Amino acid sequence: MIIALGVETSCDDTSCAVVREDGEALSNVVSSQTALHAKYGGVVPEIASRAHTERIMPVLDQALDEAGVALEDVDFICATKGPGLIGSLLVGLETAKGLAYAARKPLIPVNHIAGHLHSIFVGEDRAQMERFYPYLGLIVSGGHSSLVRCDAPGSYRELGVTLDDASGEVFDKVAQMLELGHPGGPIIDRLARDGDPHAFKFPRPVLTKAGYNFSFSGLKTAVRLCIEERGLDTILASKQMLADICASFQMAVVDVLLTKAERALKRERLERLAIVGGVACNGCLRQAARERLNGSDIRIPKPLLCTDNAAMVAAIGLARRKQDVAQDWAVNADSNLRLGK
Amino acid sequence: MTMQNKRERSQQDATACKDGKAKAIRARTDGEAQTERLGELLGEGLHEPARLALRGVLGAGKTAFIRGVARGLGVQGAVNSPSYVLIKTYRGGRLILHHCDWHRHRTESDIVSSGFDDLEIEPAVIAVEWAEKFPGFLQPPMLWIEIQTLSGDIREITLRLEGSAPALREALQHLAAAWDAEQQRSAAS
Repeated sequence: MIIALGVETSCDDTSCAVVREDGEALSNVVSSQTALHAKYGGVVPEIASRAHTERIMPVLDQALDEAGVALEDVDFICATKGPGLIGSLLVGLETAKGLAYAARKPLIPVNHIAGHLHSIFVGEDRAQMERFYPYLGLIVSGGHSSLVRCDAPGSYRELGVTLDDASGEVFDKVAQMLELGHPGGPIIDRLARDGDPHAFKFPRPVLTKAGYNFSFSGLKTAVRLCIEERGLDTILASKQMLADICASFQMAVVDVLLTKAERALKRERLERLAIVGGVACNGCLRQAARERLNGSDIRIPKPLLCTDNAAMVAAIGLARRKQDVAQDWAVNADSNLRLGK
Repeated sequence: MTMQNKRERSQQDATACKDGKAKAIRARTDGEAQTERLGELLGEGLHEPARLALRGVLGAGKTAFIRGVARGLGVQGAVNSPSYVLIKTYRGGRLILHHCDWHRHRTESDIVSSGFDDLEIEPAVIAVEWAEKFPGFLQPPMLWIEIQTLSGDIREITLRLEGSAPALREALQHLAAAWDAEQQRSAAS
């Protein structure tokens, strides 16, 4: 059976994976740099690319080891080309290029967003995958928030994007305003469990506008004003108030995401929804999606496949191997790469 | 009363700018749409490469302002936060627009390794959010855009020219005159 090696280094996770043609991930090794960046309140690009450089070969060895294969056994090498941090992308893509050249394997450059959209199919064979198309993809991560109509692997139509911050970014920025540390998503998710999501009325202005675009800047401002009004010290001194703010803020984000998704499902006449990307780990989003959209067939990957990982990169590369093999070695990383048609 | 003050002030600013002496103008915006509109008026007046340095707290409206600049340059489609990829490049307008974010950089070498130095190879408008974190790195001539948050959605936006740049000064004049005219029209209606 055909197998592919995936390499993913678009942000702060170094990952390599081996995926078989039938969808089975033989390995999916992720080396997270979260601890390295935590004290800076966000991913520091220079630190990220240095860490990728140090980790990429050990991670590769481990991925091959766990899969029980040698580089020679691999049929394709798939690597993220963009979007992402340019210094991070370069490490993975150039390593993959070197491996492909040395081992004489075809190289498949992969769009990171397409990888996320395909993450729900890791572990599934082609027939299972084809049954789920067409579907609506809700991508929610640190750098991206969009709604995409997916008709086939690689065939996408962007219905809506964020007009300002990505959903993960707004979690990080609000966590920063509340001095909660980094990354903001999991911290707010945890604190919000003890909070009342209706305690604070945070705005959802974009819901009154037509279309599928997201906007979180008004929400961010509302949280800032709320913090200024009550005083950060007062908030941090009251466990309940902090939990209430987190829960209310989180519910506002989830409400915006799901209302737009609901609207897109209806108007695009789609029955299936995939929620992918790092923010799809959020407990409130996972639960609310199942409650509110219970008429739809919803897939949300397990957390390891929500955050950046190379299994999704290898999986979409395999699905696109007939079309997307790089024609030459000049393929370059592109931090602003758009989602292809 | 505030309308009156606002109009008087922006009229004064516009006049001062026409003299060619004033290097700064100040405008008050109420809501994100107005902040974006102010940026658009600046973008309309940009015909040569320029550097824009933005300053303002989280949620002040820096990205909204740059979205306006992009519109003024003729860029269509989404213009959103560059916080994640650090530099977003838009090629659809009269000039290339690079939208940069220095929030997460720790040192000047971080800026260099984000690819910043390569941006001026082609003529472009370079807009930098959180530029004040590394004073002196962005070289004049440039336009400082400081967004202060007042109550609610009100913002006071100060545009200040640093260094000598006739093209930027003209863009400021265009902005002042157009903004003033729009404020008067909306006050009259």
